[in-house]
Amino acid sequence: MTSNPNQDLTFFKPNSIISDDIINSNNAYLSVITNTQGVLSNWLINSLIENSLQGTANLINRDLTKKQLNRTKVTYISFTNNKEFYVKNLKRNGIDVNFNQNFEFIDYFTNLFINKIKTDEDIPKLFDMKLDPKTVLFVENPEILLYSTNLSSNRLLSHILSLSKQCAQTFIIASKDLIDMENTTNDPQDLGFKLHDFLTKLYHRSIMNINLQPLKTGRAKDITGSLTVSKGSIPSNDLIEKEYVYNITKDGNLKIYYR
Amino acid sequence: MSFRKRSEIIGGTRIQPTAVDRNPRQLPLRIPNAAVPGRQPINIGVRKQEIAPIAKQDISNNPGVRPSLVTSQPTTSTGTSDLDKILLHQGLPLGTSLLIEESGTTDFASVIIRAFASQGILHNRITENLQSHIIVLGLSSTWSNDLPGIYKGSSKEQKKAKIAEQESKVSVSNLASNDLKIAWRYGLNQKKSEEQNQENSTYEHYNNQFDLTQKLTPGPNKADISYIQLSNSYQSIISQIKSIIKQHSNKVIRLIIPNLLNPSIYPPQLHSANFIIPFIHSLRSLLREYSSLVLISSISLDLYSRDNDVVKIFENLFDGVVILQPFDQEMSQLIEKAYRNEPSKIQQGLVNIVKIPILSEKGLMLVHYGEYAFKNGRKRFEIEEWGIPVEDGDKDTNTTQEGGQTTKNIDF
Repeated sequence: MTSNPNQDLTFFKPNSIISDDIINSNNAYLSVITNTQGVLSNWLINSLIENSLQGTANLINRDLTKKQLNRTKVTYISFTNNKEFYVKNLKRNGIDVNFNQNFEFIDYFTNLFINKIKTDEDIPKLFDMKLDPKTVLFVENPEILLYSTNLSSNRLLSHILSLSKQCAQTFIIASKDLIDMENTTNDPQDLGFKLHDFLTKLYHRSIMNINLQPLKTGRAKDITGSLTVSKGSIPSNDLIEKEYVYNITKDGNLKIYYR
Repeated sequence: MSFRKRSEIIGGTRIQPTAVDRNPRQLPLRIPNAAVPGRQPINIGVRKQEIAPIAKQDISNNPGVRPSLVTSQPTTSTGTSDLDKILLHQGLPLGTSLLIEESGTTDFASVIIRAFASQGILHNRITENLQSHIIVLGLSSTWSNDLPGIYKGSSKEQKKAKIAEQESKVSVSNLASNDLKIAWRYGLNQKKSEEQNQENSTYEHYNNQFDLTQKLTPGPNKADISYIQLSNSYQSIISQIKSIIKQHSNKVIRLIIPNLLNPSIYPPQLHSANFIIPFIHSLRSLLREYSSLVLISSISLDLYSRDNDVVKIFENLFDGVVILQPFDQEMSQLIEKAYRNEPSKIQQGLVNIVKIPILSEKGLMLVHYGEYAFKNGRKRFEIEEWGIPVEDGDKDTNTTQEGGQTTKNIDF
């Protein structure tokens, strides 16, 4: 018997965050998570990693309590944080990734522009890797390459798709702060345009788009922000399009409400 | 007959508690390491102790470092106590950065930055061992000539301090007045207040109040402060900063980058996104690599507005972002009018919070616009809650005769 989740986060029917169908599928799915200043998505990422590794999502869905050992592998590529950041944060989700063999962290943050990228020719090497087909891949803030090198949005997209094709599910996490709809330009060298172009093309290859944004009415003491789940261009009958609001307290407690 | 506390163990040699044996109930005769075949204690504590880096232990013992009020992470003061408060950690957590953005032609950000530097230098004056080191990027050594000195109080307070100092000196009259209290009750009361004072004084050297009209004396020397000049290669700047950090291990390193991208300091080639973004990204990486490093930087929003892509990327890469927004002329006039009888209450602008280190990264919404205001006085740079001033009517007409009589009665 399946129970109806009460004010919990659910992305796919029936009541799942990353569904078994996606993990066991032969297709490669891509999802995009965008956030803005003031409503960063680290809490959501931690829960997605938890759900990938062991099937639970204690903080965002109280019905997903059944632990599944070795559910899937997780590869995390970050351009803005080091492994220690995730080790510390994931402890709250009951996971010590230091001792989890299914978790692999690829640090493209520490000394990225000192050791790893000396010229633009070094960029393709970053994406030259082999992944297990049953992997959930996270790529955090790859857009930093668009800002700091001469890499075009198309080239970055092709690098990411080359990785995405290898694994079951890919989450691209990006900040939307640079996108200013009022002052759009078509200058391919403009940083805002590069990001806009990159994200638009990602949306056209995704199954699910998650957007976090602050309340339009301004800051509230009991609501941190809103989270919108919407379909991408890849059709899915199981995806639940919905809007939520959520509240995070200083001690890390999280509460989700339907909007 | 002597009394013994119940918890104290009678007889036997006392084993000094160590990090390994955490069990307080352990009897002295029960030796934990006694060889019982197949029952070897798991020395997790020992392993942890071996792994823990020595440098981190030393940093937490630094008098300029205290645990954050929110996350317990080692934190150091910015030198502006009100800024420490609005950052919620009671300072800037080690390994994090703060960007101060300022609109208008004023330079209030430099007041905060100079106090940040002075605070580090004062931490070096506590003991003979140097506790902190300052690195200034892009400026010459003349910058440190104007660092603010410590606030010694108003003239009245200074006189009081002199009297207190004389009283504390050992003399017959002072001993008679202080120590020869017969009633033991007074002693007990005194003990309580001493305990309270002790709590307050645990971090007595943590932060100081600075007088903007005074110069820091004695001024900083080479052991306190290093200067790095800008160059076309951000890799060389980063490697210079790294080598200074390595030279000053076990100290809090305060990295200061004033007037970021100001054309008077930064040549045109350094304004390119291909230089400045990798540079700031590398600084963020450096902050995570060296947990003794803290960074404060400032940028003018008149030169680079918040709509500018580069500023938005900076805001993403810095851990904390604060905006100083001085009032326009109209607002300043209104405030001056409202507080014409209380000039000390006149504020100069708003302090907007965009990001707070560590907490914002956890996903907390901590953007505060128009909730705090600052005033830059001789005593210190104050930040307080902002409220639109209400223009009072004539105050003299409000004071009633009754009020006057009441004051007289109290005096009597």
